[in-house]
Amino acid sequence: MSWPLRGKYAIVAVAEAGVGLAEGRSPAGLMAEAAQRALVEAGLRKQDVDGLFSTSAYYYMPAMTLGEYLGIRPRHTDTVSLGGCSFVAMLGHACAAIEAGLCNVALIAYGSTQRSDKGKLVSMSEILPYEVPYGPIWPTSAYALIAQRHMAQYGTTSEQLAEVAVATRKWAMLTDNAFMREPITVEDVVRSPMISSPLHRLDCCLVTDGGGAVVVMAADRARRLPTRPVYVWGVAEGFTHRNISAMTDMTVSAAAQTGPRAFEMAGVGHGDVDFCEIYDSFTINVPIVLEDLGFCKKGEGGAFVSGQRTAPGGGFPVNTNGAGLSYTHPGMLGIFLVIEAVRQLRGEAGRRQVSDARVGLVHGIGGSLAAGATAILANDPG
Amino acid sequence: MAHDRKPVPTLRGEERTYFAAAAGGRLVFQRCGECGAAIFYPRTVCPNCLSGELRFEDSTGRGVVYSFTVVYRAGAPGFEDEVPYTVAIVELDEGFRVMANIVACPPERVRVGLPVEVVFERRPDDLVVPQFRPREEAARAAAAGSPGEGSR
Repeated sequence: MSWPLRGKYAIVAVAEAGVGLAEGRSPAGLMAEAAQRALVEAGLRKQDVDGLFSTSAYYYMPAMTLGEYLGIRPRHTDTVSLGGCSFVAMLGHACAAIEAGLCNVALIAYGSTQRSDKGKLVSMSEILPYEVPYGPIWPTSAYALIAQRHMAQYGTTSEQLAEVAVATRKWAMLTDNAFMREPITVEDVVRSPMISSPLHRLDCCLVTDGGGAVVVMAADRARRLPTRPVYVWGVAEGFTHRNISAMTDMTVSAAAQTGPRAFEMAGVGHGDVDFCEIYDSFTINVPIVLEDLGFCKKGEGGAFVSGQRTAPGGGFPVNTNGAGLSYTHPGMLGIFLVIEAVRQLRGEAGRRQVSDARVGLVHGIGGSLAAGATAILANDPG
Repeated sequence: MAHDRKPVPTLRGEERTYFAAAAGGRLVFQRCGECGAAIFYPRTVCPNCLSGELRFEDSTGRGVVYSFTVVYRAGAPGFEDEVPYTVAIVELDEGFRVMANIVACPPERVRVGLPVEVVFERRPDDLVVPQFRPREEAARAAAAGSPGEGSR
């Protein structure tokens, strides 16, 4: 049965700030700047905002930090901690909160100065007692363990993972403000320095600054605004573990739960999806998530992404602005995946525009491939 | 060694019980008295059936490498002199999994499925962490008459 809220709520504004290098601005400053731009885009005033949604590695009480910074005192706040996919999950939380009468205009925002911080990953994580004594690189080694297991179990190769990095870079080359726009080859990826085997440097995402903001409102109100609404057809969230040693099957992510639910909520099938934005903190994420979402069978993700299938013109567009591997990755990527999906569905993506994009799938990831949130968005209410 | 700069977790409750057992040369896990599940890490309730009847058992310390990664850049202070080192997920014969380093073994010899057994590594602040080494290494050490204690 499709979701009762399907098409009832819409993303009415998206904006970014300081993507790449954001000198002179704090994480809160980037959040605020993106929020201000988003509100201007939609012709909304800050007094209209009555729901604030944020999470952060910098601020212990992030929605309060953001609200104080912007001079907004919302009547509803949400600071879910699902790592980088929180902002995808928040789309669902925002729809539910508006439906429940808790707020009318939901502002979701994020900001990070990870690059200005000299690449040091800011974290409020507790020292996990059963993992930290062993010196894994957080979170790279967890994804490396996952990749190694996928390789051992299914014969996935480093070259197949490299295909993801190469294809993603090709999208970034069509994106004016992408952080990395030099072409790369499969050989470049597999010859780049090993960080945590089998993951090489070019299998790993960028370290950048950046802020992003998204505004969600009821669709009937959205249609009176100057922007083209993008409708939320389904959002599902879940997780499989917190400690990587507790991941029951290291080749299966939360997308195996959230994908089927999101498709059912949206009432669409795989063939209806025109493009995917998949949280690519590491190359291995893309084949595993494509398997879990059901675009191919378990274990066949490596073959699926081969032959530059996910590149521009490859027939299966994934990460259409260069995403975390080549566009930006300021600590958490989720909000930027949503922003790119909205731009594609509005037809505003310029040279990288996916033709006739009508339905887009966003899959965010949090922690060590631990949490997942899948959103299916469309440019009509359906 | 640079052990003295390695991160030391703040242990609380059942976490302390686990590492206290390790300090005594035992790798422990929990067995649920209701459903029989083998549980790691130690908990106050069973994650399978929510029973509170959990008892600690000693593991044989024998298992296989479920997955591994060779780390080329220190993931924490104190590991700088040890790169490249191996971080693995080991599946014990009793059916639970732990993270550990594979010690006494060059990284290039580690593979998924490698039979391993537990050894115990002393760190400062009385912290003892379970580690694993290949089982053939253990056989060799026994033949040479060296003690079973991990030396790293």
